Amino acid sequence: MEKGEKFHGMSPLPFAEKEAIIKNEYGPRVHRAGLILSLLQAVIIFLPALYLLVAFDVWPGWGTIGKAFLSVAAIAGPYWFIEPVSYFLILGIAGTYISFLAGNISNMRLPVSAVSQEVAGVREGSPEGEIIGAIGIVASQWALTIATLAAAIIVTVVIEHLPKSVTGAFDFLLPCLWGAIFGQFTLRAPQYAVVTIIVGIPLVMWSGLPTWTLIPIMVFGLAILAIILFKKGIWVPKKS
Amino acid sequence: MEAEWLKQATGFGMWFIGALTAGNALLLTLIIYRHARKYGLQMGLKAEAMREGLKAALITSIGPCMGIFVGMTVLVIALGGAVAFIRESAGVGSIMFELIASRAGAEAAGVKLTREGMNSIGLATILWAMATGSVAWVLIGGVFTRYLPKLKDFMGQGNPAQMAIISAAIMLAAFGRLLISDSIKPLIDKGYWPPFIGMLVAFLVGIGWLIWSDKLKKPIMKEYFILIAIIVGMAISQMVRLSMGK
Repeated sequence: MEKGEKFHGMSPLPFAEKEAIIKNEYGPRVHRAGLILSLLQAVIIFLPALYLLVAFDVWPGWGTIGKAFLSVAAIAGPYWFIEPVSYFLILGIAGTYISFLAGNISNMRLPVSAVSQEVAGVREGSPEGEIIGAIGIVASQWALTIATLAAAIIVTVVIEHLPKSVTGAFDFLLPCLWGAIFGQFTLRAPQYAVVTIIVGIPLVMWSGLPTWTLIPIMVFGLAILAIILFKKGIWVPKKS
Repeated sequence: MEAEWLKQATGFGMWFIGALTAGNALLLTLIIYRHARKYGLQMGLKAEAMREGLKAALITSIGPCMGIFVGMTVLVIALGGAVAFIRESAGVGSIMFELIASRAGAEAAGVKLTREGMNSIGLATILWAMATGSVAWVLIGGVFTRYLPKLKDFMGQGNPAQMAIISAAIMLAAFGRLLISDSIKPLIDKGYWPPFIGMLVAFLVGIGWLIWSDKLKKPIMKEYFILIAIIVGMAISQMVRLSMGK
């Protein structure tokens, strides 16, 4: 095919032949490497906490860890299952392994995969798309490693040289961050933002419930409310 | 003098773990790249097309990397460079998740998520919360990817519009609870205005920035909305605090 054509990068081989290479040769090898290194990563993820325990004898206790886990799981839990399923067809086999091992899916892997396939002139979802998408996502991880290392070093150095009047502003980092993100989701579902504040203030201020229970209560409460109201056709966004 | 927890968080050991974490991800990318090139050529893809794809991916990565660089600032400030590098180079990557885990860990340990309020137990609890909260993604992605096509068919009955509104409601509940605790509670309990004003300013600036980027049809601007909102919010909070003499 000529370079000016949209799918100029597609291979002239028959589809069945290309599909067989993906299924019988490329796929199994990627699955093996992906499985082994993902399992290894699942161990590495715990090393920072284990390092504090072994090197400095710092152990918060199962109860404290359990409370923290429950708060995180209440928010992240649904996404553990939804994201791999939702993104698989876009990311492909290799892209899924890298993306769920190294993160940054919607903001980086998806656009990078799409652009690299577009530029290389291959169809998304085709065997060629699987290969080019994988190469694109590989490149994005190389770029990400350099960017995160640079950020970690540069920001650390800059903070050390700032005057106290400036670093004092960082005391307000979290409330400002919550405000900005709350604003982002308020644009998507303003009614639920109002409900959150109206219900949340008395719950947080005067309910007397343990603080670690508040996120699960509010998250599941609002999720159930959203399901009920959506089914009744109430507060359904016009675009959806 | 540097606090004990910060020494632990930024010492050689933690940087070494950072190298292991990023290194494991890089090893996977190198293996996949080798297979992709080999079998790509075998299936008739031109080497030039693969080079073009790689080049386009590197250029496209610059924008998201800048956004990640900026988002990481928050994590570096809160927990030091090494922990931020471990989590962002090959962790979940979402700054939102990392901050939720940090906040949940700090709260469970009974400490504040500030450099002054943190201690070793708080840091350890945060690291456990980050690990236990994110390991499921790695395991599901790593172990079950081969079964995902079937699972996708099974779950395909779901309504994407319903899922979108539930996701927004979940996020509002999670961040609403944090927002109330960190900005509205200090105001009601102690009459302390700066965190509330900062939150409100960041809320309004964030919304304004997002609407503006939609109007200009420049979605890339959205990557910077958190940075702009928190800088303006923090600056105004600090000015209010200094004017109050506290």
